[in-house]
Amino acid sequence: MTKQERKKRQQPSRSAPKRSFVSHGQLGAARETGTASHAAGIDDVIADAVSLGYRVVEEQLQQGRRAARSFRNGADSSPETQDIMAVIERLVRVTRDATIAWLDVVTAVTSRKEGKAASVSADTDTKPAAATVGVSPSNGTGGGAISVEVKSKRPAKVTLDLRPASPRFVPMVHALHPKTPGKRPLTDVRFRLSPDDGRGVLVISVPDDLEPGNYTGVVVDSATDEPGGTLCVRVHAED
Amino acid sequence: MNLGGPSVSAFMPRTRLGGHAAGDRQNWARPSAGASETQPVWHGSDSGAFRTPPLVAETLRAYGATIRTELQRYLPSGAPKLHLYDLLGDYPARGGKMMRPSICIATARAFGADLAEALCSAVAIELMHNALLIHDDIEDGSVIRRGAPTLHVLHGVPLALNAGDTLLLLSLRPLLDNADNIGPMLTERILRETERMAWESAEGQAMELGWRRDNCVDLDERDYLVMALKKTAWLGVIYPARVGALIGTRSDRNLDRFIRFGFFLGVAFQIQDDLLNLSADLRYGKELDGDLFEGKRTLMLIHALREAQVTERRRLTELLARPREERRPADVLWMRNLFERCGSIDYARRFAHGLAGAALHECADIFDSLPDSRDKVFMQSLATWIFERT
Repeated sequence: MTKQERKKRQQPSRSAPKRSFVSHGQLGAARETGTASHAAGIDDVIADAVSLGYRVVEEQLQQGRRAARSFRNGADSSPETQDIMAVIERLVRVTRDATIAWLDVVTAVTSRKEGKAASVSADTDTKPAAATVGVSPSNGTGGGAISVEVKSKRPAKVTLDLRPASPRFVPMVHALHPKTPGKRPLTDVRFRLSPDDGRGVLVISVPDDLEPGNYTGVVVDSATDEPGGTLCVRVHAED
Repeated sequence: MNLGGPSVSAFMPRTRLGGHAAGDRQNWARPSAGASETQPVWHGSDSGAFRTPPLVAETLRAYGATIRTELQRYLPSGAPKLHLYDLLGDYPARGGKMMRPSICIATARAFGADLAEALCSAVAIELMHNALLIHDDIEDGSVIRRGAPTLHVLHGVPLALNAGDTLLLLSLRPLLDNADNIGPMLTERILRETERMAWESAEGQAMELGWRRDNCVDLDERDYLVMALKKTAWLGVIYPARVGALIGTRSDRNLDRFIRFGFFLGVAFQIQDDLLNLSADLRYGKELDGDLFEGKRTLMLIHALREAQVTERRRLTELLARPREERRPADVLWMRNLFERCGSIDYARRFAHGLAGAALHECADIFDSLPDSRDKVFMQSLATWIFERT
């Protein structure tokens, strides 16, 4: 009977347990197959730190984007929360509630000091259905451009001329009236903040049964009711 | 907001660099110094030899002085002085690096804004930072801050806590005042950014405090990075840079890249801060080995818990489970020695170097396309400066 050679386990290539975080997931796989950072001559710890760092920050960014999307959807369902004045008023309310020390902060927010004059003009012709047009203010007042969104089944021409007397100008329009007294005004006109970029958006919804014609109104500062521009919407008859 | 002439004209670097007139942004933007004085030079992570251009320290000094002057205007001086308003001014008066608010100003200016447009936000950031320091010191049981006893050691926890709350409220004032300079819409956008930062910071602080309370010892680097991103990087770099970018660009496009840059720089900063805690000298201004006494979950501790022998790990876990006052100096010395034996200090140093390298990479993505300026070089140099500070 021939003496069989005794079976032996192969010697492991490592001499200690793999307990490092780098041995998990793709990073560890890349390390074991070989070449990732070794070929580039990069210290393992540094390569792992950077690789893991990018994974962590990208995950956080994804979570942030998801949160922003859900927040934006929620905010869109209640238009009044998008209104510029609502934001300011909410801020004022919160600060009032916080402490008496805030009273002068509130005063600072609500008071309108004299500031640089600014002029913003828009003259745009929309096609039927919704349209959005960007308008750039001349001096950056208010932190950026103002967009115009028109919801209308008929063509409508919008002319916005803003001349705010203060850098804190928060625009508001009560209603746009037709030339003929007693006729129905265009009331669904408001300014709001865009949740996308924080810029101002003028939103106009033209009812289907509104008479064609020119509807004009004064844009006022929502805090002082001082005039700060004009808005004109010409609603055309159906093509 | 009325900046007044002095605070703006007192901002030195514009005139120091080649004698250009203050306010001349184009001239200011052209560095007159040689390349070695304006470009950060990295000599390799192993040697630990970094050379940061002197303009980083100069800029921190200059912006710091301007911010302190403006910050003083916001500190109330009436009654109750002894029990509140004196306390508010204590930490700001002790100095500080002014890195956070300077990042805000430098980013805004690098993108073309005026100093006056970013100054209020910078003041707000410094006030928030000081408010959170008061709270952190209470939560951590720290006894030294910026070389002097912490506020709660001096005045007791209730008064210190109240001062921290008030300072946090006060920090919103300059943000609101800035509406005069930048308009209500951008102001509202920055307030939203502030709210986001506050949430992130609170979550990060809760993670770390919770780990200590529950004596968590099975943490890994991913846990640490998420915690440090929230606790340190948001207020330390991400928020100041994003606010600066909002002011400088009047747009919130591409703001995600500031999260990447701020994350890498902020966490590298935090790791270096934790390393300094183990070799603290008087300039550091904190308690030597304070993190070990507090059982803080640093990268070194996480590494040592993983690499230690079974018996060492058991002892370390038992030490961490004790309340701070029951951790003796001999225990802390043993923990320090364990870090050395496990190579945890060297590991954390290399880890931080890697993150700082990534910060440089992300920084280039943001700033390289901008016109040359000292503010741009300042931002590019922070990744090396964090290893040279004390």
